[in-house]
Amino acid sequence: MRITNNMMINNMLINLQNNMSSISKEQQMYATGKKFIVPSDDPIGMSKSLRLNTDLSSNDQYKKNCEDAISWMNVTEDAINGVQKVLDRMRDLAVQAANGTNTPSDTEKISSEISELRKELIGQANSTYAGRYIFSGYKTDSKLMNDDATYNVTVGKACSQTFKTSDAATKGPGSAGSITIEVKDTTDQSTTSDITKSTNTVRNITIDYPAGATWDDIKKVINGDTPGTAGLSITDTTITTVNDLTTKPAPAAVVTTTPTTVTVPSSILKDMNITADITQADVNNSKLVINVNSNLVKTTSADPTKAVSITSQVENIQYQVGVANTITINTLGTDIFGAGVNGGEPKLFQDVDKFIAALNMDPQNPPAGKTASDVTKDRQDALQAALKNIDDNLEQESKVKAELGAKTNRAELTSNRLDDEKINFTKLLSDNEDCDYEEVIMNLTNQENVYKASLQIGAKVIEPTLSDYLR
Amino acid sequence: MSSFLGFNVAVSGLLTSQRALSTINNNIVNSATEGYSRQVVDVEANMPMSIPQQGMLGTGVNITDITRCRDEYLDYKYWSETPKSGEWDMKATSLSEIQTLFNEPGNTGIRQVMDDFYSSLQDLTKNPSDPSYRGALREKAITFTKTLNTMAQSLSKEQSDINDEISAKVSNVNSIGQQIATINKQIFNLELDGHQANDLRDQRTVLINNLSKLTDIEVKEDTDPVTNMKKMTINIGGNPLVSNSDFNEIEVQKNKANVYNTNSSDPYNGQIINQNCPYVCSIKWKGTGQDVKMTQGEIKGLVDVRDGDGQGSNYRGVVYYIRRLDEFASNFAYTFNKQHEQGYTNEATPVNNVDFFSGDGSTNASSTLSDYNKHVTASNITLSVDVMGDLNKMALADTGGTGEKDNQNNLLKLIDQRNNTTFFNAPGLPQGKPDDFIKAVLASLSVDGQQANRIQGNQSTLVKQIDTRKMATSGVDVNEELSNAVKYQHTYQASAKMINVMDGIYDTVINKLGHVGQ
Repeated sequence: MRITNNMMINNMLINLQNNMSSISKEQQMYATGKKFIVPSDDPIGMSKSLRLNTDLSSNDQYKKNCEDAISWMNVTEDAINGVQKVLDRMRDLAVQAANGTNTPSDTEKISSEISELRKELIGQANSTYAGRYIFSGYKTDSKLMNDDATYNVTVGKACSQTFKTSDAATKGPGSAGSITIEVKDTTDQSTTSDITKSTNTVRNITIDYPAGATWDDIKKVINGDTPGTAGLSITDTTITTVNDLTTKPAPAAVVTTTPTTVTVPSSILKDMNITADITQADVNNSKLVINVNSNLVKTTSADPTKAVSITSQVENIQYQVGVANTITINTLGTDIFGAGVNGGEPKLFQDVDKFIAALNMDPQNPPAGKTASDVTKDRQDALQAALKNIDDNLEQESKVKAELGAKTNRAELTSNRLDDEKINFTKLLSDNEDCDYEEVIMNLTNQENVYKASLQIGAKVIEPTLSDYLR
Repeated sequence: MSSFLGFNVAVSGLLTSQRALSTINNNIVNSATEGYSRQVVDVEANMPMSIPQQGMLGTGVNITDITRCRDEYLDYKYWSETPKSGEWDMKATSLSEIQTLFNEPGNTGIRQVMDDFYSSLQDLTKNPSDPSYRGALREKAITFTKTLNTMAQSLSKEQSDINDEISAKVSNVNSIGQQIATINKQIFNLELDGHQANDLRDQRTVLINNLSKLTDIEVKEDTDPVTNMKKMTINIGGNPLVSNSDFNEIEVQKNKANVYNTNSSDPYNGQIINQNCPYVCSIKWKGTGQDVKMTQGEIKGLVDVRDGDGQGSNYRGVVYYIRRLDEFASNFAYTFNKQHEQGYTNEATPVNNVDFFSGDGSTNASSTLSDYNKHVTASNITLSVDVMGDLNKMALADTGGTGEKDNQNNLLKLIDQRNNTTFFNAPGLPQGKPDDFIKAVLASLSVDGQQANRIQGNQSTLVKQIDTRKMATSGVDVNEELSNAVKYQHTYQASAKMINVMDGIYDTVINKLGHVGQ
């Protein structure tokens, strides 16, 4: 093939371009530290890079969440410790008070100290973390307890639903029957003993009686059909006639034991509406179920084997610490102090009140119908009972603290694991994206040498022509 | 035999050498001219004369033709390979511009703003009722939507920039065509006497080279049987651009009206195709109004990038990426909103069915996915009027109880959605999480980019090879020319000497003969 000067110059230019392009690539890698700048340099690497960056970002977030969770739980633990200390002191005082050799002034001193400790307990109940009340469930802007030791908020979600007996699968027309009210665990709807797990469950039941129901029949529902049988005792004792039921607000019955089976006359059974509120259940998603004559009340379109139910939800604040991994950070006030709704006084404070009342029993001033020795005996019994109550409460606090400790441990373990994961991901990302500087520098030097060599030789070769040598 | 034969022979040698040196001179000074093919003189000995009983006597030398050294086959090969190189060149450049728009891997792309958005959602789980955290979430959400808006708008701008470039290139085609037609006429006139118009042909070849980059052409040079003259036709897509000295213009027509998608099986049926770029142009022949059929070339490459929607065997151009972003925006808004609507706001009376994202403002709680597809696009996605106006309208709680300040269960569900592999679950779309969607879009972009770069590299190597072979035939080699120049110089000098010699002879014959008796 014939070669001309222009071809040689052209070829030299093309090769120089190629060399410069290689140098430029290496230089870019050197300057940015990354193996690829645009996605088309390495499609697979870029996909991995996207994924790993997102993982790192999530990891940072989870770590922050973990630390916040641990922080909150530490504050909770401090508060529970405070409560335990108070209860310990109360126990000592109870032991001291049970000693029969106390003088009235000793008793008075003990009594006033108990009152102060009571206020301390209320203070602990209203503990805060970053301006939010930690024991109030979701209602973190409201304090848990009023100064008179009643709950200021109802901790727990109130769910309400109305059941109609006319929806029941079968009911004998014109016959009396029984309705059973119980709380079931959602996973195993056949067991009925679940709500005995804790005494924290509160259910308010209100009943709409059908028009034409007589007061006698209604009384049977309220007080029980025959003496000794259970009824739905309503809380409002001012209701004494049928008219009261229609003129006054619907009275609620508080059902705390289970299962409650009430015999209902046929005149009422055919068309009762029962509205139930679960204000708290010990198990999230437990269902309140109503049976009529052992048949489940169903809705018109539902499966007859499934009960119509309302589902409770415990007010758990959850932080996410992993992809499908949440921690419940809060402890409900009702777990520590006892069940209760807005306005109700929880068990712990009722026990304290009983203790104070026991201390105030004065054998010197017996009430009507009792002698001094009766009062003394009652007082001893009450003080013994108070001691036992305090022990029960201490037991409950320990239980709560143990759960809290377990949760805190879990959070700390997760936090450590997230640290390890972060190191892992960062290493993977670096392997994927970052260039190896030694290699880049070597390549760069290599390419520069090639470039210089081609410049030198090119210059030598393209210059001379025949005209340099012709005379 | 003429007495001046010797003289004539010497003079013919002189003149021939002179002409040859002139041609060599021309070659040398034009050695760097683009497209110049070296010219060679065809030198032939004249018809010899027969001298009875002595043999044939030569009568000198003559130049029969000055020819151009060119391999026409290589020219045709060049014109058929260059369009592909031009096409992929344009595609590689445009795709790398689009990649820059997406800016991945980097800190300002969609992935980063989406990560930030979900991070601030996570932060909010710890302080759901705090207005400063809600405000931070709103800002991150606005950044997220604005990033999508900007990206969609940049892609539209890219589209309209490409449109302008196409117009410019079409004018280029026209101007080159016009010039070729003029040169054709000049060549025709000059070649009437049967010789080739070398320099003009070279110029024409350069023009055709430039034209072939812009579009794929079919070049034919036929000899007219009657007049024996050569006529050149250049066709684009079967229709003639240049037909000897006639030139047919192509033009760019702007579609002022909306162009609708009429394919009934297409999910985008009924939508405006050129919504993002209202003046998308089509290229037509000026005279007949028919479309110009280009199958390769820079213009075709740009049209593919501008219009390519990735359907079937169409190229994945800007329209494809705009549509993917639109799908992302509308599906993301739909899935996020549906979960948000199930939550309750933080107002005095909590309500549900509040939307978080919105497009042109006409979607609400009863809108379906196809409503979202129509009304929410990547360029108009924004926060809903509710959430923009009042931070308390973010629905983080899962029930409508009052006072539940720290109920963030709906928020947890919103965050969890990101890991749901049926987040994107529309018919016709592949299933996946939002991260997967972004990855898929970027993967196709990067693969296309790689492919374009690779083909462009290969094709440009191929074209350079052809160029080299052309130069081998028609390039000027200074050494060769100089050595030829030396040769002809000697011939010239020798011929001049011969004239002297002849002169001497004649002098002797004329002046010195016949002096007897003087």
